[in-house]
Amino acid sequence: MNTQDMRIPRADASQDKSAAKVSGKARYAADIPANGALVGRILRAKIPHARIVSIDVSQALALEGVAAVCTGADCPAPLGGAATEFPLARDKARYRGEAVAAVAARDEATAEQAIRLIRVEYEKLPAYFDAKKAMGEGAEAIHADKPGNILREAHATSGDVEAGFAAAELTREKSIKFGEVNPAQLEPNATLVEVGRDGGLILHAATQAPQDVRACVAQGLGMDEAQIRVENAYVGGGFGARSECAPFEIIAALLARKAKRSVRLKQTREETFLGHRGRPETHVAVKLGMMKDGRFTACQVQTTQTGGAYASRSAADGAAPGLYALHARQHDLLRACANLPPCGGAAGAAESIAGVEALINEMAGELGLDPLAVRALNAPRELADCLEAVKQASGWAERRGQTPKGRGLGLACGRLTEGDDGGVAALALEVSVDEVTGKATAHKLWIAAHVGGALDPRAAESRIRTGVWMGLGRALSEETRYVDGKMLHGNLLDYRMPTLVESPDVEVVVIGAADAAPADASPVDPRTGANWAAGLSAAVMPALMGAVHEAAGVWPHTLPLSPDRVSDLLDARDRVKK
Amino acid sequence: MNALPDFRLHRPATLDEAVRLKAQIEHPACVAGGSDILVNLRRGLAKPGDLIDLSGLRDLDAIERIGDELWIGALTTLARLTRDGAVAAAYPALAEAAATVAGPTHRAAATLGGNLCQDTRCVYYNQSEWWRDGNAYCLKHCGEKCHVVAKSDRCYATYHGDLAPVLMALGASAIVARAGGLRRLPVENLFREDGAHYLTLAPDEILAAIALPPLNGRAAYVKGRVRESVDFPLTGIAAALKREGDVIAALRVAITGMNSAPLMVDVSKLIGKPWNDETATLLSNALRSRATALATTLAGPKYRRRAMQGLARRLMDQVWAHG
Ligand SMILES: Cc1cc2nc3c(=O)[nH]c(=O)nc-3n(C[C@H](O)[C@H](O)[C@H](O)COP(=O)(O)OP(=O)(O)OC[C@H]3O[C@@H](n4cnc5c(N)ncnc54)[C@H](O)[C@@H]3O)c2cc1C
Repeated sequence: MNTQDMRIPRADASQDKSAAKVSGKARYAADIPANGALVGRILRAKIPHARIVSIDVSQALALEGVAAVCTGADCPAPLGGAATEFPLARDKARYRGEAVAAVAARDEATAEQAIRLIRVEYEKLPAYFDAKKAMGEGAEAIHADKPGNILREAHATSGDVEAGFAAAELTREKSIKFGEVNPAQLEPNATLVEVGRDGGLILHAATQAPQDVRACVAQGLGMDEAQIRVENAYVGGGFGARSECAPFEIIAALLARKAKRSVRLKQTREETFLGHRGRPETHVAVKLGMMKDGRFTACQVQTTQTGGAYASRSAADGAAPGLYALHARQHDLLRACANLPPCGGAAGAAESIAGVEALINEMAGELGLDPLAVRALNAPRELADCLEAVKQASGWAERRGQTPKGRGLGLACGRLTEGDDGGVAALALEVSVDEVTGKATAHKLWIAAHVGGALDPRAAESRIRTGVWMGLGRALSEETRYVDGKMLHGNLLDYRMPTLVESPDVEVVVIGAADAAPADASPVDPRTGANWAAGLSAAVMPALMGAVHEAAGVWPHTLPLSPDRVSDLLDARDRVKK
Repeated sequence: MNALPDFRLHRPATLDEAVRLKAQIEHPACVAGGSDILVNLRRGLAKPGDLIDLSGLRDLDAIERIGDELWIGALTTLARLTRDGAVAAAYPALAEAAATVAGPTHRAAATLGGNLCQDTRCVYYNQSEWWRDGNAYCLKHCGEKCHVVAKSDRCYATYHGDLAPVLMALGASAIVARAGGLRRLPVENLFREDGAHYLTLAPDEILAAIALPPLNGRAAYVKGRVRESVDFPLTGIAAALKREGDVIAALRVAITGMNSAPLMVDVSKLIGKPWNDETATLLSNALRSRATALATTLAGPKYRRRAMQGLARRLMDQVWAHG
């Protein structure tokens, strides 16, 4: 890819697409006309962990109108070369919803009937839905090459952590839990595969990574990349779900090649949720040492993720870069593998930062210090600039502690991206808590971000708004829910993304943006307009926790702060008072 | 995608024709705005051989004064309820409750009749065929077991309609059409506390209209939910109060989102007393003994009960102050 391709789109170019999208003219993968295309359908495992003893497709194949049936036997190549995940399960099904077989038939009813005629014999295995149990003594290995069900481990230490804690005047430890979130992109997954006269395949895919889709489909089908073309005019959101080839894209191609006809594979909202690749449930145990004036002396973070049965290939390494000028730091990460849908590659850097930020607020409170001043004392210059800008914009100095009853201001910092590069941000959030319903409402958010000169300010501002909005979802209401590995949240009523009504007024201050991207700037992928979301959510969540404390006098430690959680906290507070 | 099952579609033009069809056909389903039933049909929660589309019954979408009552046709859309002058003037609580239902695009299609007759809901029921199959189905549909109340012999799916409690508090009547003509019953008698058989309508009956008596006092509705749009009520309370000086002269309270039917709450102990801490406790006790709330929603039952209690008190404070 040359730098020309990498340039951030100018505002007018992105507006072109926006106009087509909001006017309904945009054609997504599911809208592309394809007369005579077969209907694809996937058979999914109904048990969370099982050995596949046999699959009998004979009755399905014999059904009139069925053109092709595929199973794991049709695709011995692992997805994108990752050793463990296959487009169609081969030896084992590792989560409820994993694709086990697929059919292409003349219409939906026939495809559905064919799916029911496939007989799969399973040998049930013990299944695990949380990290502790998955990593417990004697747990069945979900992947043969991952004993103890540890998907990833990372350890990083700098400075003398022990000495740092010894020098501290106040040391506190807290454990904070962040719920699993799904990308919940609005456009359900869909692929149309056309078969060319030369046997080549044309995929109309809802993807942000056409090159990867081409490479993985070629690999999966044992074809030459030159025989595969991937088209993707419009994508209705990605947020991590579409940054690499997904199993269903290969399944659609397998079906089309076998049937020698075009196949359209559309998925339901539920299946789209099963595709997942969002952020797993993450426990962050934080220990922070502080001097009485607010200077940090040492920080220790232990992050434990309940990962899915598989993870995205684009795995980040897990070291959480700190935000502050603090040398004595230790970070340990464990990602367990559980019998849940595949999650993304993110290794919890954002959650780790959020955990530390939350504890900074609590400790500042305990020491009677202004949490903004504490951060400014420890912040490198760019972050200090952000803090100052937020202080001015929000009227922090005059308003903190002066908000009316039931209202509060909270503050936190974060990084724009999860790595070391990229900018930093500080934000303040004004929140009210309804004592009757337990509902936390965000009223106003002020954010200042140092974007590192890589973007035009308008693009940066819109990306910041998107990120903040997604962070509010994670902070207030979005979370996945399972019973025994059965997904309960697989629809847009139960997976509660905030609506426009829940979106507060957001004031953005962009610091350090250049008018155009310099050629050597490390660019943000222009198609994934939301990839600051993880970083920014790391700031939104602790800011909300701080604001809720000021409003209601409780320190939350589990997110999202849905009304039922807040109610429980209020009840616990009142029991203590009595 | 979840395709709709195959069915014969009937589009009667008159209420008589619709009633005749309903009597003739075995197990037909009716569709009005479709915002409830189409979702369920796509999930395989029913496979009716015949679907009767009521939307052509133009005689069912009038809002008119008949004597001292206001009659609202069952096909009136919720969008219209939110902005109709006659409704807003006489029963603002009804217009406000309608405005809290689902989202604006739903309300444009959704009807009053469909809102009242909407199916009960449960996390084990409002799932795809694949999901329910993998969970051995449930008492409400195809299965033998209730996953909410083990060993139960009835279904505990919850009724989450927003309009029923308001109409019940207002003392409204349901006007039901059947082969022999019309019959009239209090709105609360449309419902039965059984999640699988939550309506009392006979197979050949169609809800034609709602008749509202004059409101003597003040009514209001409050809805507890996570998001202020789209979401069904996790709990909902409606109250109609007639205040005379410093006493409660008349009071009707109804709840939704808690049980398998919207229910009237017995508030007789509050009559003749002022609204204060003592009567608030009486109301609280009455609510507690009436509302069940089980684990049919993602937000737990404890939360729904707590929110119901708190919101009911807030609602009464408000109608008392303005009554
Ligand atoms: C995302 C979403 C959010 C929602 N949120 C809410 C909410 O917050 N509050 C709420 O109350 N509802 C909510 N609903 C449910 C539904 O949209 C509304 O209840 C709506 O008013 C139903 O009306 P309808 O005309 O679309 O009903 P339909 O779907 O057409 O019908 C529903 C049922 O009523 C029967 N029926 C309809 N009319 C008659 C009649 N005249 N006589 C006899 N039977 C009849 C039908 O046969 C069917 O069984 C929501 C739905 C969705 C999809």
